[in-house]
Amino acid sequence: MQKIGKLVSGLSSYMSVVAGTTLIFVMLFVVLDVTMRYFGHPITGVYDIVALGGAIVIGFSMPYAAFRRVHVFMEMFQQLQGRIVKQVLGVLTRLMAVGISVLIGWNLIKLGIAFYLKGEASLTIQIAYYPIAFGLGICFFVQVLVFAFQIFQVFSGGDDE
Amino acid sequence: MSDVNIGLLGLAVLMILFAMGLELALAMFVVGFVGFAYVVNLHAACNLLAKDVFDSFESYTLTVVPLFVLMGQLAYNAGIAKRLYDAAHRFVGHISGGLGIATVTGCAIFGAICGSSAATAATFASVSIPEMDRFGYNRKFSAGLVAISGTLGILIPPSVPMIIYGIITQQSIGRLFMAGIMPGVIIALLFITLIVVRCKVNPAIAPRGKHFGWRERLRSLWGVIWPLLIFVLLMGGLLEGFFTPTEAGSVGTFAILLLSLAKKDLDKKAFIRSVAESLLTATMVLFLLAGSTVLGHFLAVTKIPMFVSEWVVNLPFQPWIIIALICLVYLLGGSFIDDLAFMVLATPIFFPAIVKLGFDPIWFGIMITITVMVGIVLPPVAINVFVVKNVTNTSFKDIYNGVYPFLIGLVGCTILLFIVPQVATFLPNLLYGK
Amino acid sequence: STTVHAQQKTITLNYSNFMPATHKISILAEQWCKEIEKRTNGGVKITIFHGGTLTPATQAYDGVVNGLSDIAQSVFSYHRGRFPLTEFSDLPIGVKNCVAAAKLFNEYYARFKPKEMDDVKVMYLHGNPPSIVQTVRKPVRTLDDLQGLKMRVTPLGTPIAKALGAAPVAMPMGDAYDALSKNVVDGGFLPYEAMEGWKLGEVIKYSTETWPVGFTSAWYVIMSKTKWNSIPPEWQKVIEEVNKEWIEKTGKVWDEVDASGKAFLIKQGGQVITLSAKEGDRWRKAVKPVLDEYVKMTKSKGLPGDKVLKFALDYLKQNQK
Ligand code: NA
Ligand code: NA
Repeated sequence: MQKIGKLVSGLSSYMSVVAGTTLIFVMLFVVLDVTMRYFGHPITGVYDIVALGGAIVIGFSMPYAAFRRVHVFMEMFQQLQGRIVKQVLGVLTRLMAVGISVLIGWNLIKLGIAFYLKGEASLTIQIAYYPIAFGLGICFFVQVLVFAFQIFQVFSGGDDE
Repeated sequence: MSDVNIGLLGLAVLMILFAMGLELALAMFVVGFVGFAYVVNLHAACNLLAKDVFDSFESYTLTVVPLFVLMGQLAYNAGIAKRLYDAAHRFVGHISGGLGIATVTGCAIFGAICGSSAATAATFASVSIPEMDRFGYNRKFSAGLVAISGTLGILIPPSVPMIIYGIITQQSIGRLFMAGIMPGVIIALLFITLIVVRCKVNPAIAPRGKHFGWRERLRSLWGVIWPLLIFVLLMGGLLEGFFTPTEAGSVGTFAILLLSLAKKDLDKKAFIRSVAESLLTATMVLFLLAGSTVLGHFLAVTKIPMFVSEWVVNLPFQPWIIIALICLVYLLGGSFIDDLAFMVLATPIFFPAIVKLGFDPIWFGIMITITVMVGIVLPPVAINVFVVKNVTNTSFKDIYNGVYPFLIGLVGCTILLFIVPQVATFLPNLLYGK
Repeated sequence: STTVHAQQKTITLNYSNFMPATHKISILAEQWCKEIEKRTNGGVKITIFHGGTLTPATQAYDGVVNGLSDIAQSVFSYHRGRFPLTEFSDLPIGVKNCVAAAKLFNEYYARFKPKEMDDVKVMYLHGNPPSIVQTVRKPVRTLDDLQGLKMRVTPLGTPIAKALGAAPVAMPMGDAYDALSKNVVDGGFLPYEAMEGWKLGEVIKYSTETWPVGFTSAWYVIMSKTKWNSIPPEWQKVIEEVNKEWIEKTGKVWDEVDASGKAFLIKQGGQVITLSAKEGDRWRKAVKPVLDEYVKMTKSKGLPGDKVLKFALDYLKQNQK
């Protein structure tokens, strides 16, 4: 159990390092473009690169955010009830979280295949879209691991990280 | 069942899932997906889910959210607030309520580089409350003041809620920023007036602090200059056309990073903490936005927004009463969901009605921001109060009691905005034209 | 055939339009729906959703393929790489007039039957008013004046701006007003229409009518194939008739909108600059590599880009003054 927890937390924090690095890169890139534009040489494709960077930033920090439970949710009702109700609701909501993440991940992969077959790419410098869709799909599947792990946490009783 | 009823049922299910403990963003995905599959078809719903997530995450405009958050986080972790507060303290600390005035001033200036109210409140809770304790300030007074002054961070630009409002309603973020300045300053002045009046009535709540000489005062100004410089650089850069509002987050982050590295204010740990915090906030916000896009598409096929806007426009009230009612809905909704989350949820539904009623979308953005400010200090979900409690261990009851008198400042500004909308619209119209 | 109609169930269709309800193009699309309803005696009822509430502009095409809507109107160029042959419609082929552009695009569709649109039933195509050089402070009288100017472009306008020697800056249309008024950019490749529609006429001072390199984007009005096949043949015929009429109508409305934008600009004190025939040739020559690039790209995909381009250039030469 604890091993799985370590694996999930390790994987999600490793991915968030990639996200953070990308965020800094995007920031520097925009500053570079602003500077170059001032001197009359804007960078072509800033739009596409920032958008792509944004997808990496959010995709790769998703599992970590799920792990840290930063999303807006309500605990009050669960806490008013007894232990059993709390556990049932806990399992139910985690199952829904797993379900919807699988669904999104799977459909992103399908979207990626469609992008690949139709050759869709970003508008200015034509970065292919399909790796982004595949990547986001995989990030959602990693998020599934996090939510699945939270099912065990419901029974171990703690919100311990 | 009519489509509108299906939409209403969907919203009810959304609330139930949320109450069960499912994350709001995920609940919006679930309801949006299932509802769309029911009204249209499963295949279309699957495609919608993937496309909406892809378009929200692979988006130029939405990438600015983490960058603006990062700017605030860096300012928060680089000790800027402490210096701001110290300087204000040296100038007005010796008068009755002076440390309170220093807190409001510090929050207002800090808010000019930080777009988050929680970060502003957290900073000042750790900086100014111990100081006010030292001089025997009433804790209710000081804790309440910090909780509510922290909200200035989202009215004085830059502001993350305004960016999100601008993205949802396709309004110019630059104009929204400029529109927040005057109301922000007015509210800060109202807070200061309230402090002065209350100290006249009861000097015991906020005794005089230490008196500083002019040399010490002037020396402390150094700590104020560079956050002000960054603000001037940001606003000036926007107005002079060096960069666009969406680029300002990157430029501001870069400037703060350079300065705090040069001044060795920021160690590696604080830097990493800032980045991590901005990733978490941004993911939270973008998940909400993506979820609300899916839900919004479901609601659109049920025609609820059309229905709501028809209904609201035909209410037998004066337009200003309708606006007040809408703000009340935001306040109530925000009180049991989360103020920012409710704004993401409700704005696409109400915005068409606002436009139909003929209100200026920028003005309405400021009204909603002030409503959010009220929401984040009112029970049951009051982020700023939670933050102050965490940092200072003051009881909820005391902080809330400390907050209430200052609400007059926010309400006063709202009334002013109703009577004189130009308080919000004058500056953006002057600087950007029209 | 009234008996057939009596037996026929009413067909209801959802139409996704990303343009705001108040725009003239949206009103015309609404009239298209009403006309079809009228001529099928209420047999085909179409509910139109404006403002991208059903599917945003970028999702409109797939929305029809996947059943989110039955009909949609949007722009091909949101999907780079997916409609390679149709990408000629974004090239600086010298579009000056929207009626001609609309006719050209439909002629192209009828003649070349591009496979890339096989997954939908095309109703009709049209094109928005052509983009030309519009500047805030510096008048552009010759190609030399444009050199190094920071110009706001759409993503597809980027290579065109580059070929002409300008520095292309991409930004959302919503940012354009503030960016122009604050001199983040010196101008933009913009249609006259945007002068009024986006109020840009308040900041733009000079319009250079660079018609020889005028460029537009092709818009589609498409229907889901399954829905189309479920419609009885005599109603299909009615719809095709209405479509044919709407090609010219849509072009005309675009031209009116564009003319009104030009009038707005002039009223605001804007100045119109025209190019001499000789100067026009210089511009045409400068963008030649962009056209060549299209031919090369289509060739690599086994598509007859060279033929399409020649057809388009000839068509515009004959049908535009
Ligand atoms: Na701020
Ligand atoms: Na609240």
